[in-house]
Amino acid sequence: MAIEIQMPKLGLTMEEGTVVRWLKKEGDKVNAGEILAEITTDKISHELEAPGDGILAKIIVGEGKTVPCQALLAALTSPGEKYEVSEDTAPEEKAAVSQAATSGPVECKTVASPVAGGSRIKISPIAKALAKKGNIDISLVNATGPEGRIVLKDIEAYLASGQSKVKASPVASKMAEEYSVQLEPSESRIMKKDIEQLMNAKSAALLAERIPLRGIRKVIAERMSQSWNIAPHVTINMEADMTEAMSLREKINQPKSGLKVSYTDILTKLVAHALTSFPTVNASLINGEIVKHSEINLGIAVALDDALIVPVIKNVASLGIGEISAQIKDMAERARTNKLMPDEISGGTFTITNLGMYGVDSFTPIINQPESAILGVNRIVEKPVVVKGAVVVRPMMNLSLSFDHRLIDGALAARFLGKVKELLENPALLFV
Amino acid sequence: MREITFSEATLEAMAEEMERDERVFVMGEDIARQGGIFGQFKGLPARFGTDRVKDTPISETAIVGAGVGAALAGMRPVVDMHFADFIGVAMDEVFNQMAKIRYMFGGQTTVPVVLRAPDGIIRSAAAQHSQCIEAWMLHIPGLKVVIPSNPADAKGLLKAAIRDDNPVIYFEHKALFAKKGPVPEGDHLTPIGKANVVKEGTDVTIISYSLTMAKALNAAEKLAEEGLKAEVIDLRTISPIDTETIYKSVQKTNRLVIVHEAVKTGGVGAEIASLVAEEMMDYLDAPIVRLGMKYVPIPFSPALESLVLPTVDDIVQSVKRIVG
Repeated sequence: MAIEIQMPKLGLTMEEGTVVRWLKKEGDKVNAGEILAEITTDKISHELEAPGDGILAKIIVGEGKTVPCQALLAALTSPGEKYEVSEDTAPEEKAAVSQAATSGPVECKTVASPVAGGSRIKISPIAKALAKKGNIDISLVNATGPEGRIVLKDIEAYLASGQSKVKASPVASKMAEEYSVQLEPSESRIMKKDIEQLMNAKSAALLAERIPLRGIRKVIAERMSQSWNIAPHVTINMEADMTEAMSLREKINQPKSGLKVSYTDILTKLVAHALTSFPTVNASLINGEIVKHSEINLGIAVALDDALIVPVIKNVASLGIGEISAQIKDMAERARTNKLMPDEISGGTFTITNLGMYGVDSFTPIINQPESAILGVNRIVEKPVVVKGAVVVRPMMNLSLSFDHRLIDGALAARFLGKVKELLENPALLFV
Repeated sequence: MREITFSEATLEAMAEEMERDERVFVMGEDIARQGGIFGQFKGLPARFGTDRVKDTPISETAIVGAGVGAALAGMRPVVDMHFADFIGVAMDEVFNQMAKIRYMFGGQTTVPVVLRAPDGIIRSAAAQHSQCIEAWMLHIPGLKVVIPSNPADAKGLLKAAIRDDNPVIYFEHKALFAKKGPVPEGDHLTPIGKANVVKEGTDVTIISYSLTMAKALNAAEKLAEEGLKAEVIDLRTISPIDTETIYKSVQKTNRLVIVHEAVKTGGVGAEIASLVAEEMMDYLDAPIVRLGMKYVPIPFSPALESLVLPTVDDIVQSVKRIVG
């Protein structure tokens, strides 16, 4: 009996996934639990394990293709068994659509056929003729005509905006985009060979490695730009004396307790406590509404070799330090091995990011949308400070809070950060 | 320039041409004794005699047939149809004889007949006496079709039609006869096949002709108040259509509205829209709009009669819709 392998539904919000790579090829013998393929969603990548032993008889969805959840991806058979794909189980590939959506300027005649979403771009004949002449990707043109039609003046406005002065073949445009080459207006049309020549010349000069932006890097790039663009960021800094927090950590981490909590674990607990008094900081601006969240879900930024992922600890205010520590360790580990579920990296209401272990004293973290603030944690360093008129040496830590000024004013942010500092300097206030 | 009525302008054209060329004569129902129902023949019998201004029996077949025969015999007859609607009675004479003879005889003879055809809606003349049938005539190779909208062109086109060696259907809107306008004295000719750009503009081309020209111009004024510059073209000749003027205008404005009193379905607007779609596709910035009479027989009821026609507001709204 063949085992059919489907695109998994990794959490409630996942609707489709992309097969990035098959790690096994047709005919390979696989054991249960072996990694068959790498899958990505718009949030994470995930390794697809073989649900049982068998032979990978048929790969139905090729690399780079995007299909809905539960779509048939492949089938495992017992040795000697034949497997036939029935027509109605073969998923409709969405690759054409997603490729069209991500590729560069497309020639007008292809644009006239159905594009993403199945809707035609309405364009008047003269506008179309001018767009074709100027090699303009009409999907980038703002339509102001009746019934949403692109009309002559829209193309003229587009041309006047200078966005389109570049004359390039579709292939050249796409290559330029992939290699991050900025094309400039030229007399003749820029062709594929021009880009190749340029890249060869550049390679000779720099021997640079060029990697197309895709996968999780692309997601990070998009999310960072989006946050930076929509939210006016302000970062404030405040130093905390860590004497009491260090002492607290020592007391918790006694051999008897079996615990080994980190400063991040302690900060997570304290920040959650501080947020209970600052509902405006634990809020989001969504579709013109200020949403004050009922739960405090803290994202903990985890650095991977080549990426960044933020697992979310849910309902932190109700958790003890031991539970928080265990969850963070588990999620960080699973983040590093690509085994997080999409629901575990969404739903955050505030994020903590720690660069202290790298010796950083201050930075300006970017808010993890749609949250409205993020706390940057720095190193603990012994410093001379003045206490009651005397210079003494104390372990000090700088806290860097970035906040979205649309929702949070400077004074509020300062009071919140002051509260975190106060809790760090006197953890006993947790019980107040 | 002096101002005379449309009716007087046609009378002047008749008199001048009859004076100039003794082969020109006119015949029709009630034209000599009564002077024509719109006064368009008044005084002609006294001046040229009833041999050249002839009352005829009520038989369109006979009149048009006699006109074709006279033209073949070397005369230049003007045949008055009384109502354009009555051409139907003489359709064989029009589309099988008049339109075909020059071609079928290899050009050995010409057929210089002018058929004067008063058309259009006026004062509840009802379904059989109100129609605009120029599109029928447009469909017949071998005929020329003209249709003035003002007294000057009424004179100019009638004189040009009389001098043309081909059969010409001359439509004259009944509601225009009493309208006054400046008309040049003496030998004033309006070229057949040449449309007139009455008002220049850049945002939309409105093509019309005959009585509806007034609505087109009125609409253009209203649009101007809203900052939209309409170019208004008086087609003047239905066949052959002046595509040069139309194409030039569409190249400039990129938008086209055609409005006429005749039924929209299969009308002159349909032909112009097709030509522009075929030849000027890459210049269009919006769908072409046709406005015409509703696809119904023209009602006798005055209230209903006014409902079937395109209005000035229809034109204004259509333009605003496509300009956006």
